[in-house]
Amino acid sequence: MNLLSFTETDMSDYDQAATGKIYSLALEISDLEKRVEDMLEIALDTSWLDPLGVIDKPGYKARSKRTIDKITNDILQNVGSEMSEEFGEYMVSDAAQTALKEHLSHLRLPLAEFIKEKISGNPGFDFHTECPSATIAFGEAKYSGVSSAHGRALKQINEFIVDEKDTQELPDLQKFVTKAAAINAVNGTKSYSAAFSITSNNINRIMDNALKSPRMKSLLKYEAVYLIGVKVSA
Amino acid sequence: MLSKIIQGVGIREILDRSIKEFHEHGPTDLGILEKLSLIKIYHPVIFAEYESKILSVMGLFYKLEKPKSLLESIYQNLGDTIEDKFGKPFTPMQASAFQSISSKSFYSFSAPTSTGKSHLFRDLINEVERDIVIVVPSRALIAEFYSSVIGLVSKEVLVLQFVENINQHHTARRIFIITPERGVELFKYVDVFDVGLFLFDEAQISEEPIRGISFDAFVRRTETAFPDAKKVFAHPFIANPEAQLSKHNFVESSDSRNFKQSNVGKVYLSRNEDGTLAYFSPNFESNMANCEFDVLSQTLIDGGSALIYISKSKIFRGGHIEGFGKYIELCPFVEDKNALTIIELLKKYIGASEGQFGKQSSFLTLMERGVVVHHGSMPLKARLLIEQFVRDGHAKICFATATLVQGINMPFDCVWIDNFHNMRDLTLKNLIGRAGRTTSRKGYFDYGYTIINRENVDTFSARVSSPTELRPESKLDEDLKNIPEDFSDLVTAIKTDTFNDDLHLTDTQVQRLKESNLKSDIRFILDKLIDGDEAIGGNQYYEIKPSDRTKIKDKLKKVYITHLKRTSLTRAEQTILSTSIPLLLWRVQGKSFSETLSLRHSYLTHRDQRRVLQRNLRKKSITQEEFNIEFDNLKIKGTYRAESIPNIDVRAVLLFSRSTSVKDFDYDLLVYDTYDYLDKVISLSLADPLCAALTVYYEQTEDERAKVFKNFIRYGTNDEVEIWLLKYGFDPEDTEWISDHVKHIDENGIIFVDDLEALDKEQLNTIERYMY
Repeated sequence: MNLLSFTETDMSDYDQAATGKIYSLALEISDLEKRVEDMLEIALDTSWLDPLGVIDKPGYKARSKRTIDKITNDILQNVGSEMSEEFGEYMVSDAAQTALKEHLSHLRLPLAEFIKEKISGNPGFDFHTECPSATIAFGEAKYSGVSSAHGRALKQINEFIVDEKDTQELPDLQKFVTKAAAINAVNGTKSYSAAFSITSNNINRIMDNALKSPRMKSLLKYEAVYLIGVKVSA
Repeated sequence: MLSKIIQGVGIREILDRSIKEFHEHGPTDLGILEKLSLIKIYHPVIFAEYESKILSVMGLFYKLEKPKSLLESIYQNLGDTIEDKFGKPFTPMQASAFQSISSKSFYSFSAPTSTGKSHLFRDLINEVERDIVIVVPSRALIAEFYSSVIGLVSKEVLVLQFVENINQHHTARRIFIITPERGVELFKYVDVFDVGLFLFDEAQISEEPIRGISFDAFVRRTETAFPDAKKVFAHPFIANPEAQLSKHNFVESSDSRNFKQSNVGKVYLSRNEDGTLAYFSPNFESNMANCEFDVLSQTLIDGGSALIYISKSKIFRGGHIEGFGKYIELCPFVEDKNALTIIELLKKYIGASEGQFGKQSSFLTLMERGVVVHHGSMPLKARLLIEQFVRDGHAKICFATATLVQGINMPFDCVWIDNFHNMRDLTLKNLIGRAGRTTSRKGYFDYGYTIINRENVDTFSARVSSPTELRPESKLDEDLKNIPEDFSDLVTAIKTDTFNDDLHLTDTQVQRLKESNLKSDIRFILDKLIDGDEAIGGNQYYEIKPSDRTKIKDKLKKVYITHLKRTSLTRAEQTILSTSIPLLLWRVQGKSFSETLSLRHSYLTHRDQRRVLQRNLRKKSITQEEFNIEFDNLKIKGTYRAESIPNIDVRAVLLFSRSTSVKDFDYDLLVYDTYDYLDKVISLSLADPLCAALTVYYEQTEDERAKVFKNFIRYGTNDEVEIWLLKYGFDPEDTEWISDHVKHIDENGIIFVDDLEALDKEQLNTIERYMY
């Protein structure tokens, strides 16, 4: 995974009262097949079938080949199938978490937990990280094979905030974050991450569009907003 | 919660969470399965969006369609991986059990009803190359296993419902399907049979008072006699299946598992006095929620089927017809040819008749509408036919007692529990387990209904949610003092390995028979009843002078009592024994079941007096009015219900209450009671001690007639060919015509006559397995 661009903007550029930061990261994924493979492995590790010991791992790997090929093919050719979109969303979340860890020293919350949420529908935020100053970032990921998805990611974040999904998730998250981060979140000190796929070749323009999105406005009162664009290349 | 689901509040979240939960833990949470069922009932369109994902995470690979989502695709890969590894499309439970059975010497597992245990067994039966012994708790289950096993294996595999070493020239391997009681015969053949697998199905029988002891004893003896055979124990809903192994010290190379995964969802309804229904949940906190439709009517209208669990006494009183009449009316008359054939066979077997006085059978009339009655006093052959009728899908409503639950692995769309007083928790769980059939319908989540009466909701919920555990110690290792006196011989013998397998009594009991001087009593009986190598006929029997007939009965009683620890019977036991003796003698005379019924019917309804009255009416020596008065005055003769003996606590209860007019004769009651006498009293209580006494007598006197009499008691015939045919597993009702076509028969095989053209297709089918 390559970092294509990284910019840091003061929120005050857009709202004088705001004190936080906006981080824009554009990433490129080139090892798609390996990522699908890893995901299928994680799916087995978290399933009730694994402890029964009836799944022969090399056999499962061999069996998964067709699924891997189908997904990578669909994604690379921008075919909008249900399967590629589901995986796409997972991939975007995973890439975003990894980038936040690598480039901003965030703590990833367990992937396993996340996988279970991800493959089984979407009752809340898609991924979570904790930044070094003990703030939880609530992440939403959107994937589309045909258009850039930043608009939908930001829209969903706004809706979840209204529905107080972040507050509802806190009891579960507490197990994985530092005490300070949990206290901060309770007191309203938190951040949001919007991760989205990019289909266009003009990556900078997309990142810019996200930054200037009218849906950003309501997020400017928080500690930080992370805009993470993910481009897949063969 | 229940009303919210019905209103559709928050159901998508429930669906999402269920998938997550099932992915992680499998379908073990009955509350979730219940919610899913309710969502499917009330919001089928929304449910359908999630249905295939739910089936995927449940591990029901055989139901999966072409995957449309990532999750479905992942589970399809998992299912395919299992199929690659095991060569069969197993569910995770089946695969896990199969794997442990293959690699271990001992395996004990528990899995809910309808999770495919029987499928697993079928695969094992095909896989194992040595002899197999399948042990089940009831004769009805023997029949069910038999019919499925026989369809799986070729003629080279001998499949028998008891232990015999027959057809030796043509047998490559053997499968015995037996009850633990029949298992004692096995040890005669330790050096002959090569048993590779013992399959103890419904092994929770180990908890039953007396049978549990013989079961445990049998298990231990299998280990001593066939140490290199695998032993597998299967149970439903047992929290600690490992107890089955640890109590016998089967530790090395052993494994056990309690599978809690269910394949079917269930919803629960309580029925108010006024007949309205409300949902309740035994699995999570919730208020009741009204159900606006009559679930049972709807099920029947939709072509579904219902099991109504009801007490035997209520059936005997006709309570099933009274209480459920409106549902019976919803069942159309059966037209299927196969169904009508079964009804016809039953009619013939019990000698019922619409036209003859007092011979109308109400259970047969019901059956014409696809409504069956099933309980433990139903003659075994009739029960098997009824079970066949149910299995073939002809039954819409099945009124049944616990006997059906033990006897047949059959799901219904709806299970209605009229009363569960005196029912064991495990029976209750098994019963609920029958609600909802697992179909192999692709993409379809299955569910069923359980209905109980309102006043039982709390007890029901408590009993369903409490875990059922096996005792960790065998009763064999417990103190003797809790065992009733009449069984203490048996228990001691089992513990000390002093059971006489040939005579089916304990060594002590045989000793008692040897020490008592019964010679003159037995000689008297034989003088009167056996003529050369034949038993006397009915007419000859009635030519015996009454005082001698009384003596025969008294002497038979004396022989019976001798094997007991005590020296006398209670009055009730005496009464039951006395009533059974004419039936025993009819058996000795080779009477069929319908003939026996007919004789008893004549006796109880004063046939001779009825005929005299009719003759007088015809001759006009009495008026119609006088005839009617006289006829009304004819009361059914007093006879007491059959009960197993010895039983010091047994009470003598009249079959028909005193002064019931013969006009009110209930033929079904006669059928049930007569069968109980033949089965519970004669076969299970009297046959073993009488036969043992005859054997002892023969050893002392070499009087061949003792052998003849013994054969009549044991087999109902003294014909050598017919006895062999019984040993080959043919039905007693068939042996007579088959024997006409047998050229030679012995332990090596049957040689039929060359010309079998006289036989019809069905008859040829009956003997086909032994034709080469």
